[in-house]
Amino acid sequence: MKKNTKGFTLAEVLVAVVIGVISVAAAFSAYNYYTKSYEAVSQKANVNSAARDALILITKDLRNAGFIGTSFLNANCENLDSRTARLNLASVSSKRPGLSGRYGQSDFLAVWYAVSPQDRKRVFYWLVKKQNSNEYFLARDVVINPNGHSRAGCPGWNNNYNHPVNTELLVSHVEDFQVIFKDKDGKVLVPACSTSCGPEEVKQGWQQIVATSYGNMNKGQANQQNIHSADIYLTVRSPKEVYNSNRSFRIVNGEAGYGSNISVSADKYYRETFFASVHTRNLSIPQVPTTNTAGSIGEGQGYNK
Amino acid sequence: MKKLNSEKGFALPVALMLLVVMTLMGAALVTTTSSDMSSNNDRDNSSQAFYAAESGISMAKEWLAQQPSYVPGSNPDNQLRFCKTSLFPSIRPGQARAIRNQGGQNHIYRNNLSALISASGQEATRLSNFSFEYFITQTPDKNGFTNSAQKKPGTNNVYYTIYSCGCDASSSSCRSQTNNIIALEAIVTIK
Repeated sequence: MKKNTKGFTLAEVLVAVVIGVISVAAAFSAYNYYTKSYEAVSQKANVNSAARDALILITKDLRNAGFIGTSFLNANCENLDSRTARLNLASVSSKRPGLSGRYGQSDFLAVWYAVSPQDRKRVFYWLVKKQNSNEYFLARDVVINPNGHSRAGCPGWNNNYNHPVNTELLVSHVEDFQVIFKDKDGKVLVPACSTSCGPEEVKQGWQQIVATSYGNMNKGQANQQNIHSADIYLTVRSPKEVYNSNRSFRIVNGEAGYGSNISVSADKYYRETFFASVHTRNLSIPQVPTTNTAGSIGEGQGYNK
Repeated sequence: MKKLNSEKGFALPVALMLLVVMTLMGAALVTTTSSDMSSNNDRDNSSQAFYAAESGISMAKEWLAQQPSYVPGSNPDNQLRFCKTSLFPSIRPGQARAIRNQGGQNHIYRNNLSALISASGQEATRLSNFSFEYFITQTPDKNGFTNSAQKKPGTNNVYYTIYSCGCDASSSSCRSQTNNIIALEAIVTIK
């Protein structure tokens, strides 16, 4: 049997090693590049879908805000009358200490609407810091009949009924949350808040008593009846760093004075502001009916699934 | 002469392995993209269905304004294709009494958006894949009955409720199990 004595010269081996190293390095760097860009794109996509889903929920609540069914005043468990039912409809309080997010500018949104002739729903949206983390989350909390059940024949307070779900955290890494109410002429409506108003609403004199067709209310509560549309701004940051170099970001939400105007110091995170605008159909009744609907007037729309 | 029939080599295994890796990567890409696309489509379709339901409410208001009288009929559930009364918690089950048309039938109207909005080509096809259906009752009382008239306090104006659903399929093919259906109510009085 002939023994195999074939081999490579040193030069051949060296050339082979060099070519091999170069091709492996090229493959690795390409892989690295693609994973990084995939990571960046998927971070952006996740930020987008989380923020959009949250905005869908908020717009749904705002569309229902202020709905009072025709039998509600005769049957609701909280025993509200035509005035007290309208004290809490849709409220924004801005820059409340401890509730105003990372930059101290964010809003606290509350909406109330009837979900049946007996029951009224109260929904809160605000930014909350999660334990053991420096990040802010957009939280949503729902309470049925927040004032309890004072009408005869209604059940007692029961968490399964009145607070069926714990506070949900909808979006992580939220930088800013603004809701700006406007009246039918498109003018920013401040103060429009019912209770626990913020410093901005205090400045605008929310506690002044004014007369309305439903009786005396404070100015913040009275203004709720004039809300025609709501603009919602939600600024979200990616959980991980995305860019290779530092970029600065400016958050400009709504008109100066009532919106927020924040300069974020340069870093490598991706940030985006998401916007939605809603017609709050149950708060301000349109003044000019279209030709199609001139024969009827909208009283309210609600109980939406 | 040396024989040249060496069977040694690695081109085939390498090629096969590359093929497998590429196929797996391709498959992963297709799944992520298609799930993203379907969730985006879902979101698009449900917001379009919301506006279809809105169109239903406008159509219902227009119809209401033209009627000489409003007579409650019977439970419309069997005649409704996808806007079933069970979608509306304000109605007690089985107690919906739909307003009749002048022919004495329960007035139920459904149509595709393409019938309301004139468009051509792709847009017309897209609009024909969204539809609405509505019925109208006297506004239910606090127990969910619709056979007696509720009046606006201090007036003689009767409250009517329009129940309208939007669907992301044509009115003939919409199914409550598989399609996005958005249910809306609107309470109106007639002047």
